[in-house]
Amino acid sequence: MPFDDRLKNTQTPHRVYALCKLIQYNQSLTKEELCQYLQPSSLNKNDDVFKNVYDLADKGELIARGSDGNVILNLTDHEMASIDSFRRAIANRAFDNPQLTFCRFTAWYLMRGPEVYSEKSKDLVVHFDREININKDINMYNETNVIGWRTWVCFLGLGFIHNGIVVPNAARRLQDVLGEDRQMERDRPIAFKDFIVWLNQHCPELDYGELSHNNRGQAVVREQNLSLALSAGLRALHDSGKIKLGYVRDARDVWYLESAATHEITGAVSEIVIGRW
Amino acid sequence: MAFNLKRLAEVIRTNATVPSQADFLATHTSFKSLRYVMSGLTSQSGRQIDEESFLKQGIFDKRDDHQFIVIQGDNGSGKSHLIRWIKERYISQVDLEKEAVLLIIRDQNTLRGALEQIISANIFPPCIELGDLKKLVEANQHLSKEALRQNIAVQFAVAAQNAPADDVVLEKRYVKKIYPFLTDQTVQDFLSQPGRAIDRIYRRLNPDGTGIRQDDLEPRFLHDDLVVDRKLLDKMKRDEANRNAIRLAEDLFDSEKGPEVREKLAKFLNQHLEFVVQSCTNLRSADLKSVFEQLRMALKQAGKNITLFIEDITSFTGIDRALVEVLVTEHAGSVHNEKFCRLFSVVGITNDYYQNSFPDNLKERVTGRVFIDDATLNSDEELAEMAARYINAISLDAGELENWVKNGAKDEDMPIARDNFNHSWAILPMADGREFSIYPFNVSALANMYNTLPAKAQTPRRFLQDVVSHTLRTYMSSAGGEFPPPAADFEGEFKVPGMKNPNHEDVIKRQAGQHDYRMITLLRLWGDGTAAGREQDGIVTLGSLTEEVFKSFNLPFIEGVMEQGSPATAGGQKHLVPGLQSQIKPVLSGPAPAPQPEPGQHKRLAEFKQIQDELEGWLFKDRKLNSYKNLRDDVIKLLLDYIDWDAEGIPAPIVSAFFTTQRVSIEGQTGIINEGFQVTRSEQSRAALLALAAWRHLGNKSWNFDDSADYLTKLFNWLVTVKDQVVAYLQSPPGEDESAGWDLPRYGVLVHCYVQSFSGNPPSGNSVKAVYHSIFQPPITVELQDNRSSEWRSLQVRLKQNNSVITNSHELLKSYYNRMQGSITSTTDVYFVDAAPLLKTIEEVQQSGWDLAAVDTGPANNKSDMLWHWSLKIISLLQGKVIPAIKAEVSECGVLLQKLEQYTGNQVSGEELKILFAEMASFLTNVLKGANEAYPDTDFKSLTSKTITATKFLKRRNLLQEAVQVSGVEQFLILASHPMQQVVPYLELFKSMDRLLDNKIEKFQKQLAALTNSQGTTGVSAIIQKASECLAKLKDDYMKINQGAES
Repeated sequence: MPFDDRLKNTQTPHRVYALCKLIQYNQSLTKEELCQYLQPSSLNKNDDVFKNVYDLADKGELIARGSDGNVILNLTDHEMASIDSFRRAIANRAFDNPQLTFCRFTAWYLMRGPEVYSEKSKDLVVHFDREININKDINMYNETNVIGWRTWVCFLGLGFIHNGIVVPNAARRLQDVLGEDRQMERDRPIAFKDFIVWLNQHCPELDYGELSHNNRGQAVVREQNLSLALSAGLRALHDSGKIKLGYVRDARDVWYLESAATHEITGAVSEIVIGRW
Repeated sequence: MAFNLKRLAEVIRTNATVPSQADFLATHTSFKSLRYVMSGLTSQSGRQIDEESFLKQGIFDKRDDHQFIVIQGDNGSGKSHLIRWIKERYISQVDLEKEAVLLIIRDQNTLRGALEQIISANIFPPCIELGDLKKLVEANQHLSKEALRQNIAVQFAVAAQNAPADDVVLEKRYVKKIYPFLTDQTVQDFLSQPGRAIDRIYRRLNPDGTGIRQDDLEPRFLHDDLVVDRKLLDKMKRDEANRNAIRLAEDLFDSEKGPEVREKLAKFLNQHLEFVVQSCTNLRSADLKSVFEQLRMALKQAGKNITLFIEDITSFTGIDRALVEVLVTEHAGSVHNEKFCRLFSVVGITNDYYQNSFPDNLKERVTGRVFIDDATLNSDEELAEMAARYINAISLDAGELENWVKNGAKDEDMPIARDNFNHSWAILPMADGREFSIYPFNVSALANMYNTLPAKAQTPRRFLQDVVSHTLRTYMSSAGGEFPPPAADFEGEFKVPGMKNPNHEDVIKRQAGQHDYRMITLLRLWGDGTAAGREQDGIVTLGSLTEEVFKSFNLPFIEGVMEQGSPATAGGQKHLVPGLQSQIKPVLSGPAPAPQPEPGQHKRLAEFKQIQDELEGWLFKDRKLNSYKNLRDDVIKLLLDYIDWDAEGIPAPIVSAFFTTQRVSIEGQTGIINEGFQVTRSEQSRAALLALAAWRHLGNKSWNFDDSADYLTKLFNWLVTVKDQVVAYLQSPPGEDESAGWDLPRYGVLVHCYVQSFSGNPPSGNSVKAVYHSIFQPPITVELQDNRSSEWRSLQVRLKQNNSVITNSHELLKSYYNRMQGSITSTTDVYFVDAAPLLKTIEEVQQSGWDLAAVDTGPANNKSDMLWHWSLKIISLLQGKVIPAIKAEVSECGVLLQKLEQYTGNQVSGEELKILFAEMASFLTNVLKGANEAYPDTDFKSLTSKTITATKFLKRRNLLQEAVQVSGVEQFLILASHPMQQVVPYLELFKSMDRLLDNKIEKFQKQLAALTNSQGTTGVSAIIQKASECLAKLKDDYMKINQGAES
C-alpha cells in the first residue's frame, strides 16, 4: 500500500479492499473480530498478515477506531462501490503525498525509460538509492519493498507485470483520471500542452508533475519528450478510441512520444481530443 | 516487343528439347569459376579457371592429344550448356575438313535417342557399316511398353541367377531369391510403377514421345525403389507367390534389416545393368566399340581426327561402360591403336554417376575434370547477368537473333531489346558498358527469389524455370497490371521472405489502402524487406526503392516508416542494442551500416524469422502452427500476470485448473487441442504472438531491443481485448453454456449447510456468523445416526458415499475468497478471506430458506469430475429428497411424542415430573431393595445416577414438540440436532418401569393366590391378608401416581 514506506508484499490491494469491505458491511466489529473473519485462526498459524494489512489501512487513514472500540471506515460508499472506484480513491490519496517513498519510487521508475526492461529488483534498489539520495536510515527501499511496490503500481494503473518486470504503461491511470474529470473539454481538439498542464495537477507522478520533476534522478529528459509510460498509455487510449492524438504540421508547440516508428502516432503530437466514456 | 509465352517457352526450355543455336548463344552466361583438375582420381587439387581460359588451355592447347575430359556437376548445374558452348566455339575455330565433330545432345536422354544421333551424324564415311546400330534403334519396337518393362525385370532376374557364387556385394542367401522375386508378376508391376527403377530404366531406353526430361531420373536401382509395403506383401501371399520371393519381400520390409538389404540389393542389381540393357536392346558393347573403331580407322585414313561432345553419359545407359572404354582408347601405345585417329572427347557426367557408376579402373584414364557446381550464380550480379541475357532473348524476335548468328554471333554485337528501357530502375549495366533490361525484375528480386529456393534447387536450370520463367508467366497473366500479386498468390518454388520488421506491414496497410498486399510483396522481394522511407542526396526511397519502381507497377509511393535522422523524422529516443535495422541490406542508396550484431543474435534472429514465416502461413494460408509450444506457454504466463483475477471475480482454484497448457491452445496448432481457451487466428492475435516471439528471441526474453515499443503497443491492445474473453471462459465450465449463470459460492454454502446438518452439527442458531466460521473448520464426515427415519437415513448414506466430493466442495469454498499474494497459481498456506461477499452469500442463502430447488443441477449429470460440478453433484443428491426426509422425521417425532404422553400426559409440570422420578427411584431403592426384590440395574441406571432429570426431559420434549410445530429451516435445524435421540432414553425408562411393575404385580398376585388357597393357620392367613393389603396399597399408590400424572 502506498502509505507505508516499508511496503510488504503481504499488503496487497485486494486484501486492503477486503478489510475495507468487511468494515463497510459491518460497522460493529472490533479489530480482533475483523481478524477472525479475515484470517480465521483455524486456517492460519498466526495473524501477521492481518496486522500488516490493518497497519497499512490505518496509516493510510482508510480506517479508524471508533470511540466504542469498533473499527470504522473513512472511505465513502461511492469510493467503495467497486474495485475501480476503490483504486481511484487510493491513487488520489497516495499521490497526494510527495514524501512517500512509494510515490518517489514510482515517479523515478516511470522516468527511467527502457532501462527498466533489464533491471531486476536489486538493481532498482541500488540505483534508486544512489540517484534520489534518500536518507538511508529512513527511506531506503529494499527488494521486498520493490516487490510490494510492483503489485501496487500495476494495480493503480501505471503498468503491467511481464516476466517479473513492470512494463510501464499509464493507460489505466489516465483512463481513471480522465473518466472522473469534469473539467477538460471533450470531443474537441485541445492543445497538447494544455493537456499536460491538466495532467500535472491530477497525476503528479507522471511527466512534468511535481513528483516526477523532483524524482527524476539521472533520467535523461529532453524538452517536451514524454516518458515510456505516458507514451504507451496515450497510444493505448488512442488505439481504443478513447482519445485521439494528432499532429498538425507547422504546429508551434510539438511534443514527442517515445518513438514507435510503425504506429499511427510515430512520435510527434500537437493536440489531443478526449472522448466521452 | 512485349513478352510472349511462345518466346518464353522457346528460350527457357522445361522439356527435354534444346534451344536453338541463336537462343543458346544469346543466353550464354560465361562460367567464371570453373575448377579444373587434370586427374580422374583426385578432386582436391585443381585451380579456378574461367571458361575462356579453359577453352584455350584445356581444349585448344591439347587438341593434338588424346583427351577424355569430364565436365562434372549435379543435375541442372549447366554441364550441357558448357559442353555445347565449348562445341560452338570449337567448331568456329577448327578446320572441319580435318576434324570430325560430333555433339550428342541429351535429347530425351535415352539410349535410342543417342544412337539415332550417332547414326544421323554426317561424319561417318560410307564405308562404315552402321547396320548394327540401325538394327538397335529399330530393335524392340515391336515390343509393347509393358513387354519391354517385363523384359528388363526378367533380364535382371537372369543376371542374378547367373551371378558368380562369390559375389561380395550381396550374400548368397539373398541372391538365390532374386530370380523368383523379380519374375513374380506382383513385384514386376510394383517396380514398373511410374517413377520406380524399371520404369526409369525403360524410359532411358525408349523415349515415350512426351518430351519430358529424363536426365533427372536415375536409370538404375536406388534404395527407395526396394522399399516394400505391407500391401505388396499381403498381395504376394494372397496370390500364393513363390516362397522365396515372399521371403525376400519380407526381408526388404523388415524394419531392422530391411535398410541394409535394400542397399545391397540395389548395388547388386546395378552391377548387372549393362547386361540387362544390352540383353533388352540386343546391342552389345562390342557393337558400339566396333562402330567407333571402324570410324576412327576410317577417319585416320582420311587424314581426320574426331572430337566428341557428349552432354550426358547416361544417355548411353546400358552401354555406358562400353562407351567409356571407347573414349579412353588412345591412338598410340600399340600397333592396334595406331590405326585409330586421335579422339578428343568432352563428356558431361553427374557427381553421383562418377562416384557410383563410372568404372574405377578407368578413372585414371580420365585426362581432366572440370567441376561446374559452384562455377556460376555465385553472386547477385551473376544472377542478374544470366537473367538479363535470357530476358533479352525472350524480348527479341527469333529472327533477329538468327541474323546475329549469321553475322558471327559476337557478343558485343548482340541485339538488345529496348522495350522496357523506360523502367530505368530495371536497367542492368554490364561490365563492358552495355545495358540490358531485367524488367520486371531488379537485382534484389532475382536474388531474393533465388536464395529462397531449396538448397538442392539452387542451380541455373531451376533459377531459370522457377524464378525467371515463373515470374514472367505471372507477369504476363496478371490482370489489369496487378503485378506483383500478393505473396500467397505469387510464391512457387521460391518463397517471399518476410518483412525484416513485421510491424512495417501495419504502416503499409494504413498508407497503401487497397494496394497493401501487393506493395508488401514488392518491398519484400524487390526492396530491402522494410517500409523505411529515406531521403539521401535528394532522392527519396521507400524500402530502398525509388518512386519510379512503384509507378512501374501502378502502386502509390507512400511515406512509409520514416527513419531517424531523416529530416521528416519526429521523435528521437536512443536505441538500445543493434537489432533488426542492422540486418537491412540497402539495394540502392541506404543508411550507413549499423553495428554488427552480437554472437547469438544471429541465431535468435533466425529463430524469430522462422516464427514470423510460420505465423504468416498460419494466418493467411491456414497452415498448422508447428512452433506453438513456446508461444502458448508465453501467452499463458503473460495473461496470468496481466489479469487482475481478484478484480474479475475469478478464484485461484479455477485459474489453476483451467488456465493451463492442457486447456489453452492456439488455433491450428499441431499439438492436441482440448476443450478450453483458444487463441484464434486474427491479425491482432498474430501481432501479439509475433510480439511475444520478438520478446523471446530478439530481446532474449526481455523487451530490451529496438522497436520493442511497436511490439508492446500491439501486445497491450491485444491484452485489453483478450482479457474479457479469458474472463468469460473462466466464468463457466469449458464447453458449457456461459449464460447458465454459475454461482459457485452459493452452491458451496448450500452444500456446506446441508452437510453440516445431516452430520448432526447444524450451524448454531443459523446465524450468519456461525455459518461463516463453520466453513473454515475442518470438513465433517457424514455418519449414519440411529433413531432416524428411513428417508433421513437414506440421505445420510448417500452423502457418506460422496464424502470425497463433499470434501472437495468444501475446500473450493474455503479457497474461493482467499486473497493471495504473488502469482494466482502459487500454492499458499495463508488464508486471507474476502469475508464480506461470503457473508453476503450466506445471508442470501438463509433468506432463500436454503432453497435447493432453484439450482439447476443439470450440468452435474455428466460424468465429469471438474471442480465446477462438485457442489452441484451434492445438491442434486439432496434435491427433492430433503422435504420428504423432513416429513418423515416429523412424523416419527409425532409418534414419539404420543408414546411419551401415554406415560406423562402432555401437561405435566416440572414439579410433578420431579416427584415422579423421585418416587420411581425410591420404589427401586427402598421398596424393592427393602423387600429383597431384584430388578435389572441397567434399565434404571440413568435414573439412579440422576443423569435423567425432569428439567432435561421437559427441555427435550419441548424441543421435540417444537420440531413438529415449526417449519422451514428452523424446523430442519431442530431435526438436524436429532431431538428424538435425546428423548428416547426417557421413553425407555418409562417402558422399563412399566414392565417391572407388571412383572412384580403378576408375581405377587400369584403368590397371594397360592397363599389364599392353602390350609395355613389364621396367623398365615393374617400375614397373607396383611401382604395382600400391602400390595393392594402399593398398587393403589402406583395407580394414584399414574393418574396424578395424567391429570
